[in-house]
Amino acid sequence: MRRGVVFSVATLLLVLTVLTLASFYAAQSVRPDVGGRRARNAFANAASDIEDLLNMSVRAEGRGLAVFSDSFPLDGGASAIAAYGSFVGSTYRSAFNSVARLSLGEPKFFLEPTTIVYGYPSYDKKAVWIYDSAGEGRSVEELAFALTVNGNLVNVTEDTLPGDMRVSLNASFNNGGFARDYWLSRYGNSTVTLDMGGSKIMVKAGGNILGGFERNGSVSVVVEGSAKPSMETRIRLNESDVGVRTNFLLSVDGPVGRSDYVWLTQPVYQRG
Amino acid sequence: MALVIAMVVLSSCIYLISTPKRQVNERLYDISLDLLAVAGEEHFLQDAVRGDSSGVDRMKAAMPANTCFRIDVKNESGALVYTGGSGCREFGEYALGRRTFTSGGDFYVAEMRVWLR
Repeated sequence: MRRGVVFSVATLLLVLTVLTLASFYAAQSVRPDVGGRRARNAFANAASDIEDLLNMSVRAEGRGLAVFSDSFPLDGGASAIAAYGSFVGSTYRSAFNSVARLSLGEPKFFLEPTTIVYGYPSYDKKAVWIYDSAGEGRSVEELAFALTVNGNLVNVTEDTLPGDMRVSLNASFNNGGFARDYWLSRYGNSTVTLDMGGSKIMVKAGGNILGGFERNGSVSVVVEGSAKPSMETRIRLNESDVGVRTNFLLSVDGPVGRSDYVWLTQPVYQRG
Repeated sequence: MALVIAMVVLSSCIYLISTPKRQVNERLYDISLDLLAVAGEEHFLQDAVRGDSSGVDRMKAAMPANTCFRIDVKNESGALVYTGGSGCREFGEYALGRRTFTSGGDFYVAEMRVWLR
């Protein structure tokens, strides 16, 4: 009698254990992964939206090379970014059934793991700035600008100070092209002006005042007048893996939530 | 002993019945996200809200014969501004992926339903 009770209890415990394990594994099999994918999708989605809104794109190529394809200025860029922040906090939130917040940061793209920044004075993109937020940009091995301008080049003015910062400039106009490599000072002020009559593009290198701070080893490309050039900027760093992140902090809540900056390109790791 | 074996078999059946269904849904969810990524990057969605659905038609042509999809695009106020897809009858379970995109300064949410024929 007593042995029978023991066997019954043992059997019941064993059955309960097996049933609990089976239901646990069945419930756990996929859900967290789908939740993770949903969060990853939200970040990739935001990166794509930001590139579309700013009419720019970034790609990583080979060893330590980030290539920005951009056009500027961007009329209404600041208000478009602000509207996107509201959109993520309202429509996005209800449509995706998850709490999402997008904290809008300054118009800077960080080339991680360095402190080099590709940015603008504002999201209206009146100029493009490349500078080191913590030094003089010595980790930049190559800085090359390729401009395409819908207009005729009238005159080129070069006011340069020699140094060890290499800047390549290649500009294409309706009436021809202009290409030159410069070795410029990181501290003085060098300016190359491409004059198109009614408008100018100025490439300023050296110790620019950017956002209220003197940035040695920086380059600023400024447009004056009605020109709207497109520009490809190649920044090669002496780092093997470079990722480009925005200054936008996205938080997505859910079963597998995530809070992180929105990255436009993840670091490219070299094999072998 | 017979009871224990029966319960083990029953538990295994519960596990096997529930797991594959979720894996299929997981694959469909992946497909919906991939399709939305392609449609977004290639600007098929932007074209669609402007009245040009040729990109979505190309996606339809490229889909496997047993996989169906439907795209609904809603504007910021939730109004449906575009619907399109493979045109096959909807039934059973589907996976639903979503993606935001911008066009002409406006924001939209695209919903992609994917199911097996």
